[in-house]
Amino acid sequence: MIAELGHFALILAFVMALVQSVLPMLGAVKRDARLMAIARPVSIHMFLMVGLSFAALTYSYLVSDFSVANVVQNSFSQKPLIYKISGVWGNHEGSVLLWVLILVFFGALVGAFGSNLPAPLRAATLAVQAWVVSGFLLFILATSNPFERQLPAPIEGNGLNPILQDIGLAIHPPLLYIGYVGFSITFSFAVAALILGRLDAAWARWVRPWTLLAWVFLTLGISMGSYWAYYELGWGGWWFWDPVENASLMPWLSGTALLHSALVMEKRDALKVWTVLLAIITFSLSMLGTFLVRSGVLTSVHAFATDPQRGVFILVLLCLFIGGSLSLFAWRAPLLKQGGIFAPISREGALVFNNLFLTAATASVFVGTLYPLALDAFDGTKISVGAPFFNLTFGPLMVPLLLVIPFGQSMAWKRGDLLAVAQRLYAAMALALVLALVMLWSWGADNILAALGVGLAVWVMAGSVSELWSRGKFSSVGPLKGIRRIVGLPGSAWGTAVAHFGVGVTVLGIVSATAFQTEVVLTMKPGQSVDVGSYQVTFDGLSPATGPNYIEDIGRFTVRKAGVVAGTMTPSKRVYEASRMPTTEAGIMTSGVSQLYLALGEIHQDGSLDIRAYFKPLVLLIWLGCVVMAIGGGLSIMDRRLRVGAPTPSRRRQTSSSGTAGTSTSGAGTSTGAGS
Amino acid sequence: MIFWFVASLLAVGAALVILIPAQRARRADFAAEDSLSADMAVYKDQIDELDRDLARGLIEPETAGEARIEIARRLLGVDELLKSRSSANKGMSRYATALIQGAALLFIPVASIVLYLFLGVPGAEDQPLQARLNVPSQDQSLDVLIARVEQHLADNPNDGQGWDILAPVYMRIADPARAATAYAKAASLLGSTYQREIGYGEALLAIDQGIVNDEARAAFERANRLDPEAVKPRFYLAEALTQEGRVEEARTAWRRLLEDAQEGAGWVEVARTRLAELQGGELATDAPGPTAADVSAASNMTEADRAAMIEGMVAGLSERLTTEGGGLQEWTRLIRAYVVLKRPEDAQAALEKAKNSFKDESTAIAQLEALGRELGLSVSQ
Repeated sequence: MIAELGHFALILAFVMALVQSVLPMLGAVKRDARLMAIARPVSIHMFLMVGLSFAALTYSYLVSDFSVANVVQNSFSQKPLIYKISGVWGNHEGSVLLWVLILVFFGALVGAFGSNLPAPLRAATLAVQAWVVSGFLLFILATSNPFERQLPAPIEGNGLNPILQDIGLAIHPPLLYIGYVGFSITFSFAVAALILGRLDAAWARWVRPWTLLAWVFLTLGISMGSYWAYYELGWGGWWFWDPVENASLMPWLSGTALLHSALVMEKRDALKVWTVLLAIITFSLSMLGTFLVRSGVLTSVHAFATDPQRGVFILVLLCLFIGGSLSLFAWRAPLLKQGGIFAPISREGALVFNNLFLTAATASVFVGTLYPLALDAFDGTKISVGAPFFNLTFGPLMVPLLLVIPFGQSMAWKRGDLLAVAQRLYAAMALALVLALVMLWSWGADNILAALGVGLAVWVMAGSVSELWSRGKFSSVGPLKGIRRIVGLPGSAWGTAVAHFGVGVTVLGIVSATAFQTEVVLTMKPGQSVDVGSYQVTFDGLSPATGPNYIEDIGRFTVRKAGVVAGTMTPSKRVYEASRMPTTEAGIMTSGVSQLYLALGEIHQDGSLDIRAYFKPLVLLIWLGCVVMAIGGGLSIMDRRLRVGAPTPSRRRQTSSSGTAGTSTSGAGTSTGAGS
Repeated sequence: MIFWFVASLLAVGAALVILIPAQRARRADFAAEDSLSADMAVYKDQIDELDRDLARGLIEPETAGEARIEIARRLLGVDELLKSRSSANKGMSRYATALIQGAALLFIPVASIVLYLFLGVPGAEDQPLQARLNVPSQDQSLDVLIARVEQHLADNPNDGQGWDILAPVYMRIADPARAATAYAKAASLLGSTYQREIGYGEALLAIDQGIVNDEARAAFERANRLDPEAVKPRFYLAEALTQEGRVEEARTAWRRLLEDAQEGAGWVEVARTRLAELQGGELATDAPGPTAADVSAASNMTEADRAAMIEGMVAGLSERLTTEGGGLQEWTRLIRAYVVLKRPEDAQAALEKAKNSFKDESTAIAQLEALGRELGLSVSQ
């Protein structure tokens, strides 16, 4: 009964979404208060219905109800509890349901907290959101229904893909989906604004926090996924330019561009049309990512759905939403009023620069991901576009972007002074140069790119610190007051500095783990030792073990550093009982932020085995940097104040210097203007 | 019944969610909702915020002034817009009522129930696993009983008795892979016995579709040691020798087996056929080993029929090895079969293919070359 109720609730949500798609939009266009009034409560009720159906499915998994086909295909009665829960979204049907659950959740958030939005904008936004909800619910009901029954019920299920039987799976998709789907709100706002033909001031206010929220989750989701692939797939790499990874990177890149342009729009009322376009593109890329992963177009660990019917269905949905919104943009955008002018050398200018490079980077990833697919579809030629392509296109685009970050965040709105900014960044520049030179000196000219990379990373980090520092104005107000000034800086200022610092941290991790890693691949006999970096790894032997639902061969290794035992490592190869599928569990030993990484290869008859061992200096910084970025985003979301970007008073030397307490001095620091 | 009650509650809830707010909005002040006024409100809030920031000393007076000008510029813009657009909007009150009531009272309940009847399985109960397992034994089907023992073993994996019970049951439901695991577990927990070893070997045989692989062979050898008189292990060991093409030893094994044979036992006919084939210089030629039925069928055929059957099996094996590849043992069998069938060119070709498919394994190559020499084929590169 519970499974059937879940099914009914899902259908009810679909029917309500259809109503929501039509009536409030009609109300918004015709200015009818009653039609608009249903939008908010319906959005909340839809969330309750989809939530109910998700809970019902979860219940079926928990009690191993094998009369539900989805449970049979993806669960197993002996599975540990946590994987019974995560198994709900560890399969095609469940994950699309989770996707829709998050979609209606965001709609409900707008419904619940949107009381300060103008009614037509709110109604139209929720209606657009309901279009997307209807589309995807129809997709679920027509091709991927998780509530399909299997009667008579078998007594045991088929288990869960063992690669996915991991704590990473429990967290990774929900984070990623919150990120993907979070962009649906800015998309709906943008389409609603296009339909209504004007951009309200409230639009500008709302886009930034929503974008940030989605962006924070997407950042965490991507870095989680990357770390997961790193320790679960046993290849020692952390980014493979795999189409599925690219599918999540594209919305992240354009979402990053979006949140920067939204900043300009919010503060300076400029770049409005561009922001609308970015909002549409970003969510389109999110949907494209869903399509790539869900349609089975790609063959990859993530693509657990391989069914052409579904693929065609999502493709049609995608064409409808992306094509429709872009045509709408082409048709209505000229109606929107442009506002706000600025000089090329200004905070806005720097942000436009940022946008140009980020969109170009998005385009390069887009081409690299879709070109092979298109080629395959048209004449069946199979080519693979791998790391070399992306290193040549994506890499060079990132360098100028990183170079400009410290300038951009120190620049004043409307018209900036490059020289003054450069003066403030002297210390950061010097530090970066010195470190790059030290690296060059100690590693030799072969590693010139690595040395430059380290310099770049330090430059970004030091630039962020220097920005905060200069806001303290220690020279004029003294250390105590200076610290108080820094602590009292608005959340957005802290958010900017912290997030940019995180970018630097990640870059440092990437450069170091790529350029300075040691890799050893060999066959080892028990008792044999090998040097990996500064460590000595001894293979002690192999022993079998039994886990809750798998059997494994554990390799035992002793790690010594300069003759002293530093620890033991136990990488293993597992075979899951239900599916008889082998997986690798890499052994990882962390010291500081560097890691020693061991993965088992083939086990030979005579007890020797193939291993791959890596020493990856500073590798953890890659993911820590992402976490720092996300924290920066979080800080910026907390800053709830209304923001207006005012230019620095031009050519006017400030007169009051020491006078009134609290109101302090200097023009250069006011770059973010009133209540930055 | 409860299902329909709850389902209709949900549908009624959905209808009310649409009806109530629409009813309320009718009385609400409409003008206040205009979006331009909302813009004005935002800008006014911004000015208030600016004043507070200024009072708290977060920004400098000059900047505050600039910002105020900026906001005022935006405010003015809105004001102009407001004046230019004075015509009041008329609601679409007549249609709106009909639309809202139609959606809430007609569309939602009818569409959801019709769709559900079309997609769902009305009346299908939940079937939580635990509840199904707790039904008294005599009412349970075989697979439920198996699941109960399995669940017991998941909690007590060291209960050898349980594995002993399960193993033959798995064989009966044609799940040799699990049977093999169960026999192996029972043997490792309770020690090796004739029953467990022979069961294990037969399960492996079933997995490999009649081929006696090394592991199965080891199991049969253990079984043979535990009960040297027993027929089964000796039969399978003889079969293993036959499959490997060790003609002399196989012949001896079959002959010894037949010496002790009781007339009328089912396996005797198979053993005789095998021996006859070996003595006639023929080999069992197909990879997955002909089943007893095949063999007994073969013994009833005319010479021509039999030749055709053997040719067919060889062709099938060759096809499979070429397209899917295979083990060294299978290639060996194919090459030998061609020699027996007096098709040396095919034997030569098969040898080349085999060498090609094992080109990275020097031991396999060496074995293949030895085989080639033995059969008088050319082994030069």
